Amino acid sequence: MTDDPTRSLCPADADALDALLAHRAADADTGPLPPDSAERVAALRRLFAVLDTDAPGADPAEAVDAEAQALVEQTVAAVAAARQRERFAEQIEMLRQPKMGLGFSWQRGLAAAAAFLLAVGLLFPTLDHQRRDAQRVAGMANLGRAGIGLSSYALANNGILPKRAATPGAAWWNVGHGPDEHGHVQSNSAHLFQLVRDEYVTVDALGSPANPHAPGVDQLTAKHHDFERPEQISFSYQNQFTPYAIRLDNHARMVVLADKNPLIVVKNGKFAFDSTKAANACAGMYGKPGQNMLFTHGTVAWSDAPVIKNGTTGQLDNLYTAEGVATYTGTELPTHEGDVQLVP
Amino acid sequence: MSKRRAKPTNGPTDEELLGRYRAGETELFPTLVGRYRQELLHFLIRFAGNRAAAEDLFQEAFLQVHLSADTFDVSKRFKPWLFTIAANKARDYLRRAGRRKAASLSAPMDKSDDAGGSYVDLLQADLPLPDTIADEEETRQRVRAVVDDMPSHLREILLLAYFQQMAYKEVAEALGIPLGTVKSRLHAAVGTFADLWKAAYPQTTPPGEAE
Repeated sequence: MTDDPTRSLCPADADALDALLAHRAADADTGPLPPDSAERVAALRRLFAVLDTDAPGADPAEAVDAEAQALVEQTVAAVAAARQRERFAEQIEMLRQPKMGLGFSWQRGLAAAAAFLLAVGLLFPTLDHQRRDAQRVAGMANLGRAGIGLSSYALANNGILPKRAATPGAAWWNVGHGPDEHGHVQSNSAHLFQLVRDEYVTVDALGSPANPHAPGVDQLTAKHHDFERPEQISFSYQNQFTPYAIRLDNHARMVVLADKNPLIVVKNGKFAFDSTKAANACAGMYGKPGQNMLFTHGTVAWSDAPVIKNGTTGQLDNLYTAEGVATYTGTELPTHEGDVQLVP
Repeated sequence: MSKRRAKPTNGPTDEELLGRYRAGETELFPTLVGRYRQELLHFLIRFAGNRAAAEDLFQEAFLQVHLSADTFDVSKRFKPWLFTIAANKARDYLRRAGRRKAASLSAPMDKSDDAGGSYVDLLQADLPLPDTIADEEETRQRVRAVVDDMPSHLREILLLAYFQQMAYKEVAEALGIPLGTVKSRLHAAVGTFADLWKAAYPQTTPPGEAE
């Protein structure tokens, strides 16, 4: 190639080229041509014949084949992965800004609750239901804090919610037992407690003011493995004794944390199933039926019933039971990945 | 000259596919990718100069389509938009690779972009033509080599306006240059191709007329 390899067509050839390409753009075989251009048009057509030997589709090596199909599949997979990342980012963003059901931020809710508690305590010490309502709002605020901790954990762990090594099928309600000889945790609360161990939250964020046994920040720290005894548990967390891990971005509208499961109660210092409770019992921690819930999309809401519309099946799903399971021995698991089962 | 390729006569148009995709019908994306597998890969192989890079750029281009889908005006044609994205990706690649002559599209036109430089007159050029060449595969390889040897701004316009059969107006929109510049640059691209083709091909006269 010379220093300046470029040449232009002479004006007559250029006019003929423009005319021919205009015909092609109009899907026409012929059309108006510059005067006295027949020979130039013929010369251009011969040049086009040279170029067309390498037109799209002319090279058998580039024809549709398995390799080409693989490129399409790789491209589609890359875009699907990008969509997954976007969902994850959106999910994280929503969880980082948890909202209360009434539409104001949990931080404002916490401030309001604190002020309210103070006012109630000073001025109306006998109004128990107002104190309970204030505790409920403060409990919502703590769920919001836990939600931020969950989102931060998921962000650092490829979208996975807190889950430690556990034996699928083993009992999940042995709170305070510590890891077994294999290093596997023995309570579902130990999975949730990982937020404290990794210092995403302090332990008070995992407690409700309605629970007099909820530990304070000096009581349990990042050095601990789990809550020490069942009475300390205020919230129930999605059962993580399953063989699979829950990816936050695969479940956009799932409840993962809520007030404590009412079907699992403390008897003689241990958790046990309460067969006297109705299957649709509410947590009822605040003097009335209902429970606070944290959704994966960041909303913290109060519900009068323990059921939500399942994001996977579209069916109503009880927060506290595995689908189709009526009685519990402490080893029952969600029947599928979208089945919400919140346990201590 | 190859005929303008037919548009799909049944099924949704590209623009409809993208509109539905961004509305949530994600299963439609493979259809869109499949429709452009051949054309876009052809363009990228010749623009970037090698197949491996072209395949990466192909994926990057469709990833960008996904990321920018919400900004696409469905009243416009999808293909020029796709090729705009692909050309930008390819230009970035060439710039990073630093292995080819690159010309800034916003730079003032030099003499090669208009009719002010030296001309090729096809009636005088005595070009080696297909009927004098026995092996089509050999011709194809030589054509590709000549196109590969052209300055990138001319190669790009030849690929879009001739091989991809995009109208001048579409090319102008895709490259963000005036219509007149598209014309003058294409004239330069075809003239340069003719000149390089003649120089690259040793047999300038048909075998029977050699003496």
